[in-house]
Order: sequence, then C-alpha cells, then structure tokens
Amino acid sequence: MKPPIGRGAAQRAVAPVHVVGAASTRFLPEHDAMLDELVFEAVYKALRECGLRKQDLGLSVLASMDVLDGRSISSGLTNSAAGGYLGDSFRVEGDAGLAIVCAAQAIASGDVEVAVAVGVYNPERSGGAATRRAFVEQVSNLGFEPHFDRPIAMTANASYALQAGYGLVDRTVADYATLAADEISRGGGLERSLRRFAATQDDVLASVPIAWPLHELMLPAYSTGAVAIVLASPARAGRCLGRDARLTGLGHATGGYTWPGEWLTDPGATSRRAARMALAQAAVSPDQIELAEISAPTPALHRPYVDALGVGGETTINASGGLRSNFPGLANGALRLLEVVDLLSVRPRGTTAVSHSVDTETGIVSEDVTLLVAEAI
Amino acid sequence: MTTTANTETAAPTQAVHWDLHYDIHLGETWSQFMEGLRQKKILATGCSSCVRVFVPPQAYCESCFEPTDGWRELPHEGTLEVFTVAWHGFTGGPQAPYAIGAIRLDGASTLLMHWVVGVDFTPGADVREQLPFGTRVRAVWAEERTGQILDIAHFEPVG
Repeated sequence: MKPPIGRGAAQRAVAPVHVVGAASTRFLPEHDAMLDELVFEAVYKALRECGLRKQDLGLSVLASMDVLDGRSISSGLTNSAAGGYLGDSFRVEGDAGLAIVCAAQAIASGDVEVAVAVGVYNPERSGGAATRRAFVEQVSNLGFEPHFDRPIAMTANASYALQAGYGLVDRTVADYATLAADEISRGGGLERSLRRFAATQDDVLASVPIAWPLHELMLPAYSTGAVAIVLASPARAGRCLGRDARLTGLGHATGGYTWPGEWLTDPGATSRRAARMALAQAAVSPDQIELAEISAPTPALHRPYVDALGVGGETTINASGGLRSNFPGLANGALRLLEVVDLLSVRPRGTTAVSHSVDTETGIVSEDVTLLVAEAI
Repeated sequence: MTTTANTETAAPTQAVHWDLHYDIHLGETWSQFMEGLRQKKILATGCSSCVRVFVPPQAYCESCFEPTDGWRELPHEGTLEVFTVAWHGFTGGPQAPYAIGAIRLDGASTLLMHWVVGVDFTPGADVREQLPFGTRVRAVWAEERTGQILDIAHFEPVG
C-alpha cells in the first residue's frame, strides 16, 4: 500500500476522507420551494458531479432544524431527498459542518465508503427581511434558558452585540465597520454573494442599527438554500470523477452558557478547542494553513476566531467575503467547505486550508463550532 | 389554514400556527432561588473545590464536577460588565428599544443577565457614554413578586 501523500502524513491520526462532490442550490433571500426540493437539488447535483448515484450512498446526514422548518420531524420530509430512502440516514439539528464531521467519521471508521452531508435552510416565515429576522430571533430566544435568559429577551443578536460591546476596549465601532466593508466589497462581485455591491465604512455605519454597537451590514448576509458535500474513502474516491480535495482533520467543540461569561472574556475559546482537535488529527501547524474560511457572525468575532485558529500572516482569509457576503444559516458549514474546495482546485497539491463554521441559534453563547482541515490532492 | 401570496417573493404559502404550552420544571436548586426572589433575596450556591460562587445558582460545579455545597445570600448590588441596546425586537418579544446587561453581583463569580435602565434611547445617542461599562448597579424589585427572575424588575445605576 502506498503511503498517504501530503503534509504530516506520517503523524496523521485519522484516515483522510475525500471530498468528491460539492454543490448547492442558488442562494436567495427566500426560496419558493419545499425543503425536500432544495435538498434534492443540492444532493442530486453533488452526486452527478462525481459520477455517483443514490445507490452508492452508504449514509446520508442532514442538517436542519424542526422549529425553523415548521414541522416537528422535518427530516421525515427531507430524508428521501438526501438519498436516504431505504438507506442509512440521520439528521443533526445544527450547522452542516457537524453533518460533514458525522459523515466523514463514518467513512474514516470504515463503516461506509460513500456518504453525503447536506444542510438546508429556508425558515418557513415570509413577509420580508425584517419579518424573517424577527422570526429567526424569536426562535433564537426559545433556544435560551427559559427561567433566566429567555424572559429578559436574550437572542443571538443580543449576544453578538454584547460581545461586540465588550470588545470595544481595544477596538472601535469604526474598526468593525471597516472590516465589514472590506468583506462585503471582497464578495460583492462573486456569484454566491447576497450583497452584490462594494461598501465603505460609512455605508456600514449608515446601515440600520440593530443592537448597539452592531449595524445591519455588520451582521451576516442571510440567505436560504441547500449545500451538499459527497465524501468517499480513498479507495472509492480513486474511482470517482469530481473534486481534488480531502479532509485530514475534523474538529468540533461546544461552548458554555451565559453565566460563566467565557463568551465575553474569551470568545475564541470554543473555536480554539475545535482547532486543536482538527489540527492534531491532520498533523499540521497553523503556519501551514494557506487558506481559511472563517465564520465570524460579526466583525468583533473575526480577530478572536483568527487568533483561536492561529492563522494569519500569509494565510488568505475569507476570499469569499465570509458571512458578510453569504450566510445560508444551517447550511453554512457546507458552504464554507464548498468555498474552500473551490479555492483548493486551483492550488498546488498539498495546499492546506481550513473551513470553520459555527451555529448561530443562541449566538456566541453555547456556540457549536466545527473545524475541517482540507488538503489539495 | 389560509393560502396567501408572500408580497416580497409572490411565493404562495400557508399560514400554520403552533400553540404549545410548557410547564418547565425548575428543580430543587432554582425553586429555592425563585422563592428567595419572592422574599427580595438573591441566593447563590458555591463550589468548595474551586471557590466559585454561582448566580444563577447551580446544583453542581460543571468544572470540578462536584455537588455545590450550601447557600449564601448576595448583596443586591454589582458591576455592569457590558450591555447592549436592542433597537429591533423579535416576534413575541418586548417592545424595542430595550437594554440588556451582564451583571456581576458582588461576591458572585458568574454573570446574571437582566434588564438595565438609565440609557437614553434617542437615536444617535452615545449609549456607552451614558452608562460606562463597570458602572455600579443595583436590583430594583417588582412590587408584585411571584417567584421568577422578573421579580427583579431591572437593574439601575447606583447613585
């Protein structure tokens, strides 16, 4: 058997898992579609890309959330669309990054040869952006502890605003606006971006104030849609068309609740734990990471996350414009990996990248973080 | 159930309403805390292994993984670590704007989230200048107390 290629191969803790297909629906402010139609479109396209069929899937893992989908078992609707009909499948109520970890672990452990992870997000509330934001924030409020935090209106945006305010010790609101404007402008010309324009610091500061010190253009560009990632074992990937990347590290961590206060004093802590796990598995050091997609829901979280991952210097961060350009909710973890895989496709073999994603249900509080290490092959 | 066309996307949708009532258990520890609030007392628990003091009280220390050991009453004053003003509320929530703060009560190791007053909500006002982080605040009690966190009506600046 030939030794694995790439950096750190001799020390790698887990068998690599190949990304052989990656596809998405269009990203829109609101899709006129049933959830299963979105899931089917993304999975169908991802399978076609790598020349596989539904019958080749050993496992389907879906990321969605009942309370957003308006169905008490929404995966009952989407299971078949994810290729799970008469097959092995399950759903995670969280970010698609976690679904990718689950699917990859099934392959790395030898349980299956091919798996698909798909995230879908189209909150079932119409009426315009403000109405949908009020609905998503309502759902967020329901995610908080019901006796202490829910009655005083804690939501994801409130937590992000509190953290952003706390971070104003060594930064200014103008710093946040500059970073947001840079990301919006970077993604403004890209096909997947929801904000198709260039922005300045003044534009950001003139946008609607949401919760002090955050303005609308500092928050993610919420979109809807589905993203599917098809994974395969090295042996099976050798007989597939499609992508030239593989996952060499899978990290996941969850943060604490409101009262310990770590989300204010050390907002990068959960990402740091996930990164430590993923980088150790991949046997790479942060300075070897050349590309990074980092999911910072606000500019105030950008630096804590970058520091937590240890990247910087020569690393290209958020070439896509990050969450300021497109944030398809629970499908975000898969979108970030899709962006990474696209970037790796034009990079030399051995180029290392990371895909970082977070769930946003309760904001920075109880944050669920996934970190994937990917390598060009 | 009614079918309507969404005005923004023209997508046909059907209105569906979930109306679920929950009676969420408080448990022994939080029941005692809530009873304390009814009597205008803020009660905390502590961990003898790491000497942290918890409010909201905890039945066990998540770090040491040991049961907490005894109750203590905390002062009604503390420090406002940070706050935000929500300019936009959410469906079913309070009318915006409102201010939420993270308060470290004197003697507590943890943060208590609660309403904060003393902020001018005039658009464009520098809310941080009005209420600098680190401001001393105290609990203002609701006249009618029923054993819930809103028995503390809000926190206000001291002095």
